[in-house]
Amino acid sequence: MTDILEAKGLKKYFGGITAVDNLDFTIREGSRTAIIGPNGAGKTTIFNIITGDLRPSAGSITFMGERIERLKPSTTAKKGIARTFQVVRVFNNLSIYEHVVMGAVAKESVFSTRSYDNEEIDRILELTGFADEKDKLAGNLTGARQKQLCLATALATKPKMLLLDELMAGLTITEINRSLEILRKINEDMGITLAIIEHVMRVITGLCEKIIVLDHGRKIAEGKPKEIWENEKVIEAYLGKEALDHVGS
Amino acid sequence: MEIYILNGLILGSIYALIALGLNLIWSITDIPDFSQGGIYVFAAYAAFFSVSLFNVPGIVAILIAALTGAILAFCFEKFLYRRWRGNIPIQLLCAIALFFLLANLAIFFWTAKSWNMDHYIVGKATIMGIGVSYQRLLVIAMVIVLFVAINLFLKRTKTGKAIRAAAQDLEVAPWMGIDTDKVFSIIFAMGGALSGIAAALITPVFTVYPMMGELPLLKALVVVILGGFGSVGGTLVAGLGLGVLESLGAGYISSDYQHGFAFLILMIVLAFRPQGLFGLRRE
Amino acid sequence: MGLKNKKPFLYNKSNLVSVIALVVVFVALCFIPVVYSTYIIYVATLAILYAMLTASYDLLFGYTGQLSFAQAAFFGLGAYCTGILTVNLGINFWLSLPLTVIFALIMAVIIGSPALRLRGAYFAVTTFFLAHFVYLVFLNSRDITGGPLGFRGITRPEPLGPINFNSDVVYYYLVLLAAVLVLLLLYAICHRSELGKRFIAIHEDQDLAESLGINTAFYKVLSFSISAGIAGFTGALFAHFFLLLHPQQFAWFQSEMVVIMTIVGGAGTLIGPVIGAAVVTFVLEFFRYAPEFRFVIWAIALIVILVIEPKGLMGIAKRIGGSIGKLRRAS
Repeated sequence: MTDILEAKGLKKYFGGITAVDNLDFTIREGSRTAIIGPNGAGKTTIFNIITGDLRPSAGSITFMGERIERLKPSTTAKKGIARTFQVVRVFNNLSIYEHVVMGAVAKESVFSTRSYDNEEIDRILELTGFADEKDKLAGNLTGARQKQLCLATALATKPKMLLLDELMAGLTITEINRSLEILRKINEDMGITLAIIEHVMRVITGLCEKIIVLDHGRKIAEGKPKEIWENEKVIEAYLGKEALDHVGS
Repeated sequence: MEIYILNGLILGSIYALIALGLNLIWSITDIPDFSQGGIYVFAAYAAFFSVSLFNVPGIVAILIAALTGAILAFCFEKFLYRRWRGNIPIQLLCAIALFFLLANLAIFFWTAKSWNMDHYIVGKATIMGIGVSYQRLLVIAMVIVLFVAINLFLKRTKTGKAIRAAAQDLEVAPWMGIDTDKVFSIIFAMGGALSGIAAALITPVFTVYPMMGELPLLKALVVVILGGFGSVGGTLVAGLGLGVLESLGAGYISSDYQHGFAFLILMIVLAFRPQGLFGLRRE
Repeated sequence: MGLKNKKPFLYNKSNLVSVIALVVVFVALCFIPVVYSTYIIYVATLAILYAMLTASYDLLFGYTGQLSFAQAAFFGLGAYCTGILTVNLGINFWLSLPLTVIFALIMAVIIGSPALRLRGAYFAVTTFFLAHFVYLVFLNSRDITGGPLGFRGITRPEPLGPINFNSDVVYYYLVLLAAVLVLLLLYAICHRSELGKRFIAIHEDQDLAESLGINTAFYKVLSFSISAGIAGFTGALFAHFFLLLHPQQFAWFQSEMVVIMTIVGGAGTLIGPVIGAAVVTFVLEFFRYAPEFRFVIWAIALIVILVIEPKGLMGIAKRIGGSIGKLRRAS
């Protein structure tokens, strides 16, 4: 399998602060990759650079053989990158059905006569568990459900790669298990590459094949979950020195 | 040439002073407070009446104007803007309505006539062969003193530090034990006072009339954008720069478009540097 | 029945009520010249022109969510453009009208492309300066616009076959027809097209819209331009109605008036701004003989409306409708 995304020498400065520092990483096509690290490690910044919400100060990003680091978010979306946001973002006054349809039609030109695939929308609603409430207004959902709606809408854009930013925050264990199942289906049945920022450990360990660990904008480790949890540098950065002592004992 | 630059510096320092208050308000509360244009008018009338009717000394007139401005701005924030916190279009509309209201109230109370006001200090100095009234020099001196004072206040005092923390991140501020309501009140009162002082300083040089706030307000808004949000130094440089450019432009290019240069400069700067000349733009 | 079917049903009902209300208003407007004096016809023509202008602004502000203070500037550009084309260049009104719209569209693209890179209040303040700059151009380009003396010599449109527009009544009907067409166009864009959905998506959440693949920069400029084009069109009709143009008619506070009419009526409803324009125009005419006083009242009224209901008259109507519905359900 080939790499769907490759980042080289990525840097991002905000004023005097270095948010991302000379970062290289790749994401394999069809894989499930987690990006983890303590708060302020630069995880969301990387997502924003990939989607085009931010321009990198230096470095390049190649997506399916094409350079994308200077493109706008709407253009990267057209190339097949979809995302969910860390903070809840929905179109409050659209019904759930309209909301997902918006994802399906957003890429098309307004003059295009091609209409969206109704069955596809229903399938997505079914998969994400919105089939019974598709006439409800998006603004009336709970925050956690709104994030799920964003996932559904992102799916409707038919992405090749999906960037999920703390999708599980605020969910109960049952909901997390259900979401894990959904994500697995998205990855295995629909063939969408997943890149995930997450704090919930069971999601990372249970779902992802590869983990990239960041600290202060640098990559400090990369590998399979098992390798990562045995890596002392990671435990130190992620859980602090005390945890390291604890693990050692 | 020198006379244009000098006039430009005087104008520019007034722009900078109003812009400083606007900048503090805008960068912390996200409201481009157009009502400062109206506050400026009322403060100018307050200074004018206290001098012409009660013959108070200049410094008292300036203090009265500052107090007028502070009270008005404080009330506007407390009783109006606070209702719609976070809803910027509504706050902006309210601010514009207040500007319009104050200017038209001034017409209503004191007619559209413009009045001359005596200088606080009479006399002239000669600088580089040009006669300059002490009043004009007072404007520049006061503005520099105020900028230094505000800068020290923000950097050294506890309240100032709280204000700067709030400017960094309004959502986190309450966590650090900062009362945002109080910070907002202080900021608005300060902004109002600065506009009031600007009005009291410049009124003797020009005249006092109801629509006198319109142009300084527009220029001050340009200065805020050019100077960069939250930047005290940038505001001073941008204010003086705009004043001088405008004065030179009026002298050498076209006086008809004196008030259009600000807009042209703004559009050119925005086209190349959307974050302003100095500092970062906050999203 | 569950919640599922209730919402769309209610929506349809309110739509039906709006349509009936609009038809009633339209029929009433058709009969104004038959019943009332020339003065009322004059005020009614002005009110309809302002309604068109305000409705065009609602596309930009109410639907696309971009607060602009430059609508009267495009109104003015349209008015002066047709004035110059017909008077100085001798072009026929019916040719000048589309040319004016094209001119307004081009100006909007030139101005909107850089300005719309700014968001929220920054864009709003920039348009404020723009309005002031355009006003300065009208005021100071004395050779072309007549400056503070005003632009004279505009005439009513050339006759179309047997229809002669020199009569105020005939011109009134022309304006009314134009207003109906413009409102239908705006309604089609806002409520019946893919374009409108994208505008609303940008209004609701620009970042989300962009992340789904909507080129928000393009659609914002498009919305700005359509809005400006209609404003220019309305300006042209205004010019051939009023016949005398003065920079003051297009100064920044006129732009603000458009925003106020929109807010008073209720932004994002298309009908609200039309009602707002009519109400404000008639109220201002009412206070015509106390000019110092009318702006004071007007500013206070706006603040009061903002305090009571930021969604304007339509918001108040909906609230009343809501509580009536509640009462009915309770009984």
